Amino acid sequence: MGIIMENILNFIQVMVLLPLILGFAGMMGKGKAGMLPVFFTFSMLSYFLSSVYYLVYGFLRPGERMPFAVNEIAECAMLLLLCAGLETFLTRDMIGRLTAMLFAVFFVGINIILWILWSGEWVQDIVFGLPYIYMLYLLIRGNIHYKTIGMVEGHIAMYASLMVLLLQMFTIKATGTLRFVVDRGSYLVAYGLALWLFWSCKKALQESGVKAIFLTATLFWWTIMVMYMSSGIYYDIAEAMNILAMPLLYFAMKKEVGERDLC
Amino acid sequence: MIYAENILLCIAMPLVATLLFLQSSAKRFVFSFLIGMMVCLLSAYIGGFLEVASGMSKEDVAIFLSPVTEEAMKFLPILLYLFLFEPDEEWLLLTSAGIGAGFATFENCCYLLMGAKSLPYMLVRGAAVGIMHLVSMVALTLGLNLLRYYKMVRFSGILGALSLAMTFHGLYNLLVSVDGIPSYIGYAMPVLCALLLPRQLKRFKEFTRE
Repeated sequence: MGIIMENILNFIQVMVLLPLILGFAGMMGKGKAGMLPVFFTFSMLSYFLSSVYYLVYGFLRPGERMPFAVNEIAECAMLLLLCAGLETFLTRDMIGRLTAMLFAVFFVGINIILWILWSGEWVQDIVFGLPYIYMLYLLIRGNIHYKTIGMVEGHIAMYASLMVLLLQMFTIKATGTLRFVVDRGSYLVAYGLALWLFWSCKKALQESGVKAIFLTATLFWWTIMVMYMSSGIYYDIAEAMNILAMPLLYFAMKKEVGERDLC
Repeated sequence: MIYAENILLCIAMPLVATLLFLQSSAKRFVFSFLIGMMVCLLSAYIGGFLEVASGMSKEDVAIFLSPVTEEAMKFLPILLYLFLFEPDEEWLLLTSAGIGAGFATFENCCYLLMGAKSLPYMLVRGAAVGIMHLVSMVALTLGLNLLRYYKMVRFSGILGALSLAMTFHGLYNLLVSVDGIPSYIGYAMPVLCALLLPRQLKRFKEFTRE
């Protein structure tokens, strides 16, 4: 049942990504859009290939575990190309680089340790975890610089994300009812944070393109992290959220390109 | 037994001699073609090492690891050429096409060594593999040229483009590993891309000229 649901969601993801890729590609070379739509188009193309690879693998080799996940390379490509797109908004002289890097290394580092504990694939988890660190670093810098959210909200989000990690770590040792409560508690906080980001994105989409891009990219990143923290039905819910975040990314880009043309 | 190194020597020697009589773009193309063949041999060495080191089967190495090593190995000379000599767009494209074609040619020759199948099969496989290596190289170079045009040559963009090429190659290898419809889809993939790519190249040239 779980695999069927996963495949259905993957298929929906492919179907959602196709028009998005065409939409992003349509913005390429238009007005003052620059490299931004190019990076986003190829980023989504990578994600599309990753989903297609996963579907094809499941169809051709059902039940067989991948000895080396090629689709994770595509996910790396997706993240790196998104990073390249986000880099266009950031300059080297911006403040808060060290703080952002320290938090990104700490947060994703703990996640990588948890992935290793769950899967045992330490080389793969470390190598493929690096783009997540870099993207979080850019997202923190961008969100701070463009003031996408208030100071208090930002701090609450930071502590909430750390709380998710703490609870996830606790589930490794906890047993019985305690484990159940802690596990569900961590999902509650993780999904709550995602819902809050959805709401913030909706607000940002009415305000400014840059703000919307950074917030939707943060939501997109967060839903992927939640996917990797979850299992079973919770994984499917996180994947559904991730699929919903993709059109928001497109609308944010459309707004930004539109604003640039007005300038 | 015929070794791959012997095949390389047999094909490379006349081409090396040809270099003495060629000039400009033709010379560059033949040279990059030779580089492509050598890169293919090096990739095969790495693939063999990984097979032993990882304990995977030959088929699994071909499906999962070869796309990574082959694309990275093909990309390295282009990257070196780009950063050391800073060639213009045309030269970079010509060099990448040469490397891709050389790589594909040598890989096809090595495939022949493993026991040739029927002529139609070799035609389809030869065309698909040949086009696949060429398409991935040309597409990568197109991406690099675009990055240079916008002065955005950065680590994340380059690595992202390379990872995309690896995935494309990986998907192709996965599809052609199974006989029947999946392999037909796999063979059609690079051909379709090859049909789309010249249009994109033309679009890029028009765009950069504006």
